[in-house]
Amino acid sequence: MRPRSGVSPFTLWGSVVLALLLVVMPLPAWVAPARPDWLSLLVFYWVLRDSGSAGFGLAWIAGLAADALCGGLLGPRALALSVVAYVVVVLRARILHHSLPQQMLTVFALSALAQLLLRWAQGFTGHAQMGAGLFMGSLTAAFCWPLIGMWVGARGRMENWHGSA
Amino acid sequence: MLADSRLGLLGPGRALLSDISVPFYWVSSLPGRMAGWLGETFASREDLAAENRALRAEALVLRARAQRLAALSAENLRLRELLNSTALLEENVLVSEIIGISPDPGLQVAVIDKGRSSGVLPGQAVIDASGLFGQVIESGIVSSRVLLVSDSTHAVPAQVLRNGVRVVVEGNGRIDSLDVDYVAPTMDVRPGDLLVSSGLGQRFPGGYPVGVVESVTNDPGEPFSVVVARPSAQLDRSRHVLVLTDPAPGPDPRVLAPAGAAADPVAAPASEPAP
Repeated sequence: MRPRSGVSPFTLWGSVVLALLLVVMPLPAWVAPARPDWLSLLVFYWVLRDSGSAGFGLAWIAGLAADALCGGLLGPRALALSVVAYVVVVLRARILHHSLPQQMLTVFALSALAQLLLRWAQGFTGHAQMGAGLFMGSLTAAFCWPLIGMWVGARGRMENWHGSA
Repeated sequence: MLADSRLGLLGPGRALLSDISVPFYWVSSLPGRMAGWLGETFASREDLAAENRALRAEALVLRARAQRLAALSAENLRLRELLNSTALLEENVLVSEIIGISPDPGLQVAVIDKGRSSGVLPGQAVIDASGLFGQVIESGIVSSRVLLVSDSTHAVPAQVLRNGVRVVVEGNGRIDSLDVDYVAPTMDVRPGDLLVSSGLGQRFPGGYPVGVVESVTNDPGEPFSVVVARPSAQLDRSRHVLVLTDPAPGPDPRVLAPAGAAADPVAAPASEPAP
């Protein structure tokens, strides 16, 4: 896979490993339900930045790895993240022109969609459905997006994104 | 997904996965370990002395109890011989450390640092210092996954210690509470009752504390009371757990459980519907 716009595969897969570490990082019990949905953020970021080298493959492999780490059924996260990747690929040009709050809203909606798919798939094996806490991770993920987006903006990559869109 | 849940095709591979995931859990717990190490290294002398005193006192109390226990177990053995019944099996325990907790809030699984190489097999019961912790559901070579008693697919046959009433204790997905199912309003279950594993169902050895009844609510419109218990084991705090490696585990959960529940061994009667 040749990176088109200067994203080295090491950065790409390094960020996947980092996201997986963040996913399994132990947190105090009262913060754990609000753990940001790092994987959806990861997919959102890379597909938005460079849909040539990051896409379904990345989403699917990252999801499968997370499933393997978390135990339980293999595949729900791979499915959910692939759907997220699909939506971002389709709406990419539009999302790039959104303002930051709009992008945050999109992150929240996509992450919530991923959570719903995940719980639905886990429901097959008889796990109880969660209540309102279900979308806490999506909410914190949406609030994490400006940090990532600003960091990228500060390094002047936004223009390149538009160029490669 | 289908191959995994319905057909069980990935059985051997899954055990491998749990081994592969160990480094991830190890690396991600480094910051916490560092903090713990720093705390230990720079703890003040007074704190250490106080802790030492407390531990000494506890050791004394426990030693006194152990003396009584020796006498009691000898007496118990003699009485059993008198009754011509089989002696209780001595249980082998294996101390093991929890190295990771599944981050998925809908799934209560812990990863421990002992696996097949130490004799840990799926189906074995896991306890901690204060009660029943869960059971092994997958064992890799050097690590295993433990399903906690509070997972929503887990159930333990138990009985009330005070009067021997048999109940089924199910997890409900929250780490600090358990549901006691199928308690008729006429059954003698009160808040404060200790629930111990009954040993029925052949999976968990009898006599380990499972939980303490917290509330009993009778709704005249419902056929059963709503009984909520608090787990005895410190599910969210334990660092070290004991795996009961002997007697040999019951049949493979995958055989017992109805199709589709391959990863969710349920020790309850098979006729129960999932909540």
